[in-house]
Amino acid sequence: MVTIETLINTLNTFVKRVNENTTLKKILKGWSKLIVIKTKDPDTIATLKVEKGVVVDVKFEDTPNADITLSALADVINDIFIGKANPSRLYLDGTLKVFASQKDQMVLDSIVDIVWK
Amino acid sequence: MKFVVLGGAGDMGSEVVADLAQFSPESDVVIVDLRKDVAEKKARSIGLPNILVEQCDVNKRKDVLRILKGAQVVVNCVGPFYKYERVILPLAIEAGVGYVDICDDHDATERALSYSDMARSNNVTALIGMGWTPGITNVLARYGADKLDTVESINIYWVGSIADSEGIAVIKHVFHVIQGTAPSYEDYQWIDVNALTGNEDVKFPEPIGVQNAYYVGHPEPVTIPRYLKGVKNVTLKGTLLPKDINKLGKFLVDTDAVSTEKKLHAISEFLSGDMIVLSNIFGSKDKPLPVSGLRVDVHGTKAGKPKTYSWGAIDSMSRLTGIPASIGAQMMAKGMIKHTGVIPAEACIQPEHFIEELKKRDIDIEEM
Repeated sequence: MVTIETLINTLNTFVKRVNENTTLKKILKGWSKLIVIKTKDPDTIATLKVEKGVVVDVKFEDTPNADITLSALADVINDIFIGKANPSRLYLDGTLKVFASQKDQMVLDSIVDIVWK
Repeated sequence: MKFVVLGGAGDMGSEVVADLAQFSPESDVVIVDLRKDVAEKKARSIGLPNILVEQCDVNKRKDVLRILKGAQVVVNCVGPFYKYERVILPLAIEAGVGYVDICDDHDATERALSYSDMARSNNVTALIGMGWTPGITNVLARYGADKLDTVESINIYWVGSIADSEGIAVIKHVFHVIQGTAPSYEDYQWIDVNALTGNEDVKFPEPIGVQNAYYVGHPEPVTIPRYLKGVKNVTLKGTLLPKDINKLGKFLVDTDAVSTEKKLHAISEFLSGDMIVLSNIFGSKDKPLPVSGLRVDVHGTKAGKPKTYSWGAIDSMSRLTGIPASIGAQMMAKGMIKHTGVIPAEACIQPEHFIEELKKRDIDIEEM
C-alpha cells in the first residue's frame, strides 16, 4: 500500500514531467482545467491547476468547481501517475471514477500516455 | 456592440464566445443555446463580465429574429451545417445582421452561396466557412496565391482527432462527408470524386506527423476556384486519429449503416456517448493525440520558375475552429470586410492581418 508521502512524490514528479514536456506544451495551449484527485486508503485530496497545458499550482486540498475529479484507491492513483496503469481502461472497468467531460477524460488519458512514453 | 453566438455553449461555439469576450471586452457577447444550464456553466467558466446567456431553439424563427435584434454580428456554430445552414443564414439576412459561420459541409456551402443576391440586397455580409477547415485553409490558399505570379494547384489536408472533439454534430458531419461523392476541382473543372478514395500520405506538423488522407466532401474546392481565378486544381483530403478509426467509418459507410438521416442520427448518438471506448479499441496501439491539424500546399510559378508554399498548423479542434470565426466577426464589426453578399474567407480576409491575429492567440502557422 502506498503512503501519503509516496503519493505526494508521485504527483510532484508527474507535474514536473508534464511541465517539461515540449509536446504537451505544443498541443495543450488551450487546455486550462482544475483537476481534483481523491484517494482512499490512505485518504488524500490534491488539486492541480492547469493553465494552457502547464500545471501552475498543486495544493493538497479540495477545490469546488473542479472540471475533472478522479477518485480511486491510492494504489490505483499512484499506478496511473507513475505510468504503470492506463487510466481510461481503469475508468472503463470501474476501478477509477472520473467526473469530467469525455473530451477532458481523453485529454487526461493522452497526457499520462505522453508523459510516460 | 453586440455579438450573438448561436450554439455558443457547444465545443466550437464556446471558443468563439471566449475569444470575443476577451478580445472585444467593450462588447456584449450573447451565448444562445438550447441548453440554458450548459450555457450558464460555460459563461461562468469563461469568467468574463461581458457574457450574457439566452435560451433559444434555432428552429423557432421568431425567437431567433428577436435575439438578433440590435446585434452587429451573429456567429452561427449550430451544426451539422447540412441541416442548419439553410435555417439560420436566411434569418440573419432577413434581420440585416452581419453573419459569420463555421459551415464545413460542401452541399450547405453551395446552397449558402445561392443566398448571395438576397444578402447583397439587404446590405448584409455573410462570411461562411470561417473556421479551421474551411477557414484557416482558405486564407492560407489566398496567402499563397498572392505570393505567386501564377497558381496551378492548391492541395488542402486536415486531420481530426476523436480525442479532440465533442458532441454529435461533428460525428454527423464526418459521416456526411465520407459517403457518396465529394466535390473536387481538377483541370479547371468541378468533378465529383468518390469519398474515401485518393489515399495519400501527408506530413502534418509534429507531433501529428505523417497521416494517410483521402477525399472528403468539403467546401474549399467549391469556393476557392470562384475567387482565386486561374487556379487549375483545388483538392481536399482529410483523415481521422487514431488511424484505425478510419476503418470504422469506411465500414459503416460500406454497410449502409449511415445512409439515411435516421440511421446516421442513431449511429452518431451511440458513438458520441462512447468516444472513450472507441479511443481504447481503435487506439490501443496508437493512442490518439488530443490535437487536430491542417496543411495547405499552394503550387505555381514565381518569376518564371516553379514555386510551392506549404503551411501547416496544429491545435485543439475547438481553438482552430472557434478563434478564426471570432477574428472574422471582429473584423466584420470593425468594418474591415467591405464586401456584401455571401462570401468565403479567401474573398475578403486579408491573410497577413489574420495570421497576426492567430499568432496573438498562440496559433502558429508553420512553414512545412
